[in-house]
Amino acid sequence: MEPTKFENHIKETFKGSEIKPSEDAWNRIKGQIRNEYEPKRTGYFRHGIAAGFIGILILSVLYFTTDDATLNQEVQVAAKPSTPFVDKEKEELLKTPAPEEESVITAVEDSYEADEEKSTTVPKKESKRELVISEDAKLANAEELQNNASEGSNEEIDTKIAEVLARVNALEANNKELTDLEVDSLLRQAQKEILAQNLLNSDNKVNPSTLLSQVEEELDQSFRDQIFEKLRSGYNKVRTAVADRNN
Amino acid sequence: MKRLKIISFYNNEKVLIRKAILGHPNAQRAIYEKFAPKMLGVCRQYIKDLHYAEDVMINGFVKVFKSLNSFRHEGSFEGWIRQIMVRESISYLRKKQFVVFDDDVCEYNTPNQITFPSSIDIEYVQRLIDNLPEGYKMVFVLYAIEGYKHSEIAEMLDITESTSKSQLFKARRLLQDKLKEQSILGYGTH
Repeated sequence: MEPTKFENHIKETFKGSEIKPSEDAWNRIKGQIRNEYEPKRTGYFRHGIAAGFIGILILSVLYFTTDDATLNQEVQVAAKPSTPFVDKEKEELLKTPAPEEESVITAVEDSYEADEEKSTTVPKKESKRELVISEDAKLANAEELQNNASEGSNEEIDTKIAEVLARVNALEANNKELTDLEVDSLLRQAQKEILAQNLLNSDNKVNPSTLLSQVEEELDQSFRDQIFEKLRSGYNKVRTAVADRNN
Repeated sequence: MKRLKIISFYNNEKVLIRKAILGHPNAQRAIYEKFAPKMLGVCRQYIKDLHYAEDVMINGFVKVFKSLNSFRHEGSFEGWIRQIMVRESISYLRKKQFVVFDDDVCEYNTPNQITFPSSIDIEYVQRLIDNLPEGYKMVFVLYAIEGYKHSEIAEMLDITESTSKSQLFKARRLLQDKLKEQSILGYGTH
């Protein structure tokens, strides 16, 4: 037999040779390969935890956003009864019989109309459909609102000064002497009315954004004082002008 | 019909491999159960001690499962596992034992004609191979049983092709001598 045949014979002999491994062999393999596959499983587990956390975050954001919306609706409903009061004030002013004040009254009416127009042009900020609004965006929004409010309030202040003057003149026409305190109280009332007017938009509904900005403004009393000071100085100027004219 | 069965088996093996890659313990166990006895036989051809051969087989299977996703389904899966087992056995022998490949120049004379009984005992042949020096044994098993070429053996064992040939020649001669001694050979040389 040639060596190649000899080798072929050995090859054939070994071809089907099998030796049964011990019982423990698989457990040893399993123990070693489990370490290989476990980190992958913990990876999936971590991904699951992260996904769950993100889900909870989104749900909580949705939940709180929905709460705000319902709150806004409640505020709108609650604010409705206050509108007749403003209308009454307007009617009273129009009814006040003082010949000198005709021009003032027309000015008041014009300013009311102008206010209404302005309030309609003010963009409605309550459409907060976005899920997440950054703090910066909120701040910018509040600043814009305050600017709009202050712009509008200048015209309102003039109107209110005219109203106060009309009242004072009416009272003086009835031979009633007014003290400084009484004038101050009239000015305070006008200030309140301006603030209340700021809360209402053209539809006589409470603007939640304005309400929010008002709440923020309450923290800083200087805004109120500013309005009061403007009213007072405006009143004094007009009084002086009228007195000078009369002289 | 036969062809369908072959395709079905092939697909099953593919599914099994895919599941084993994904870490399904049952698929891994099925692969082990199917190939472990054959692979222990392969390791045993190189390593005399069965316990050590089993250790090598276990390490080989761990490597099989760890690198299962690198199997490209281009050749047979059994062949791929077998290759890992052979390399693992060689690596073991080179680490644990002192393997010497003597580079003595051999005269590649025409081999002696030897007769070989048809009903040879596998354990006896295994013992003969076990008693060969490690260098001879490795080359002989790789060439005669696994069917590698000298160039491949040279690359695997980091030796020259001529060294591989001389190792094989010496292994053959030794085996012949052993067979003569044991009187398994019916006749000696002609």
